[in-house]
Amino acid sequence: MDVDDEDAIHQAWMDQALIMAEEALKAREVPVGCIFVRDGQVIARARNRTNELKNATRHAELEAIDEIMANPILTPVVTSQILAGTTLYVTVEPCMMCASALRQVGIERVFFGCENDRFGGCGSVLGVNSSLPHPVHRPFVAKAGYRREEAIMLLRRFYITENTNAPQPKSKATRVLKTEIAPPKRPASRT
Amino acid sequence: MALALGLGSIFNHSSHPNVTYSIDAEAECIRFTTSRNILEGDELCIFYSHNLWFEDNDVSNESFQNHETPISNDVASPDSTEDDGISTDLFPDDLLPFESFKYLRDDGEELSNGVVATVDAWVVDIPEPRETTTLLEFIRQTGLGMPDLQHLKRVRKTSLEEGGFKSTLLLSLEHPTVLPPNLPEPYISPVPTSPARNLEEVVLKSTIWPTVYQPRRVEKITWTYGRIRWIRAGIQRVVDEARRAKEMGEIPIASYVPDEWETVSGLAARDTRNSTNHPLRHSVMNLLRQVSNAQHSPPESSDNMTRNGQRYLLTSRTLFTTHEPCIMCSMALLHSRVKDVFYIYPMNQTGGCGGLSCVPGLDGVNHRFSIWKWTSPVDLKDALEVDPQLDA
Ligand SMILES: [Zn+2]
Repeated sequence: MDVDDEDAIHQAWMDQALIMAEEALKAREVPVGCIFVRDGQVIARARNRTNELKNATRHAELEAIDEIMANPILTPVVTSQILAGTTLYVTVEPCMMCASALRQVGIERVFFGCENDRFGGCGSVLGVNSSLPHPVHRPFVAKAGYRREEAIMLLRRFYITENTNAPQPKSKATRVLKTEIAPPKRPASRT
Repeated sequence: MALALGLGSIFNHSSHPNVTYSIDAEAECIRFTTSRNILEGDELCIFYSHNLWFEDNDVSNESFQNHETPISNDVASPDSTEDDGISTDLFPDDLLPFESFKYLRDDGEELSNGVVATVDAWVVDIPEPRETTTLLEFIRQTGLGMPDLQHLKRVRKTSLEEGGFKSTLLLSLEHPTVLPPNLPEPYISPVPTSPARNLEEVVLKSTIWPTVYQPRRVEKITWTYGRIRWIRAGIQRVVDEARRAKEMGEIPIASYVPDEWETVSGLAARDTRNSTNHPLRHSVMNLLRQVSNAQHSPPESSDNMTRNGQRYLLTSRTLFTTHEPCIMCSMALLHSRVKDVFYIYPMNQTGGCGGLSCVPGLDGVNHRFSIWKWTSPVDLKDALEVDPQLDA
């Protein structure tokens, strides 16, 4: 299988993660969605629930990991690498909390859409996935840029409708949804 | 919108606050933000403190119990002066039973070898200089880029070779979604991450982007006997919880967050990795769950959905924990906007508060919290020892 074919497969999986992010947007959550794939099957899908649960740590990845952990078929035996052989597709780069969690459960690899300059744990702020040495947990590969534009547009749609922090501009007409997307600041792939 | 320090006391309490607040250690201010549209005549209210009732929770049984006074005294003061001091008297600095883990230089500045720390921000060229006032008014009204960019001037003038000036407007860190019409495309420009602390920095930073001069007040934290005793009680509380965790077959790690300064009521949680068979049930994560359950709003307020973390779980609160939190837990604490973290045992290989990395000290994160390492003896005969390669 050549690289293009492989990329097409990853993008198709990412489309399913985007559906979860859309669901988050509809629920007025920061639109981040993810799916976990093992042996060609989706074993968990989740989205951000920080507002609903009033807990800023309930990110999509942790929601999904809890779902997997709660399922004895998916997690028959708890080892140090529960998610070995499992791939995560997530619309936004996992934050440092989630990247650390993913490494602690032995995720195989991660594909994500857009970078997270504030909290990104797969290279944007800190390479929790691999460059940070850990005495026990093996590093994992994280690749950026899968359905990146779609992921960014979802975030923009959220911030344009949900920006309740700031007083609203006088007219809705001034609230323009920008569609141009700047290229990533770093190379799209990192390990 | 941001108000200056000193106005804090004018807000009344409401369980449905329209103003949220956060303490910004770096900018040395309390930041008040309106959390919904304010109508004329509305009273601005904040949420003072947290409910004291709990919901049951599957992760941590029994750990709700409040101990009004510690039963054991592993962390008892080595001499009695500490116990006898008058609560409001100042405690001598050289006797503090803990030390600060400093991840920024004393002046809070990241300037190293004359290199200014910068972050990329969105800016736009102003086509007509006379529109500048209107655009600044737009920025003021929408709060665009606030509070991230409050240490910067909004307009940069650069002289053009052919004579005259070009004015550029600073918009926001995130891609600006709300813009007045008839502006050219915004683009990215680096800007300093913090205000200028001295005149040399004004010059240096303003070559990158005009930066506000804000000399750091020499603010010294003062500790009273009352506070030291309160901290010692917090440390004793996590020691007790961790010891009980061990008795129950858990990893002996525990965390505790008092409701507020000078109170001993609060929530505590233990590590439950062993009993739940879940590798991420660290004490901090368990505790955050408990805190969010305890302050779950009544159903009628659910339509008043708050945005991501508008009411943060640990804003202005202090967390005590036995072992330095791992990267996951340190970032979870940062997401929850904790103010102070006290720990007893450093985890040099896995810790996220100075051990392996220092999460609140990283460039880019939007909240800082203070880290304190307990240095006074805790005589436990290794009861709370854990594998140094473990994530606490
Ligand atoms: Zn942890």
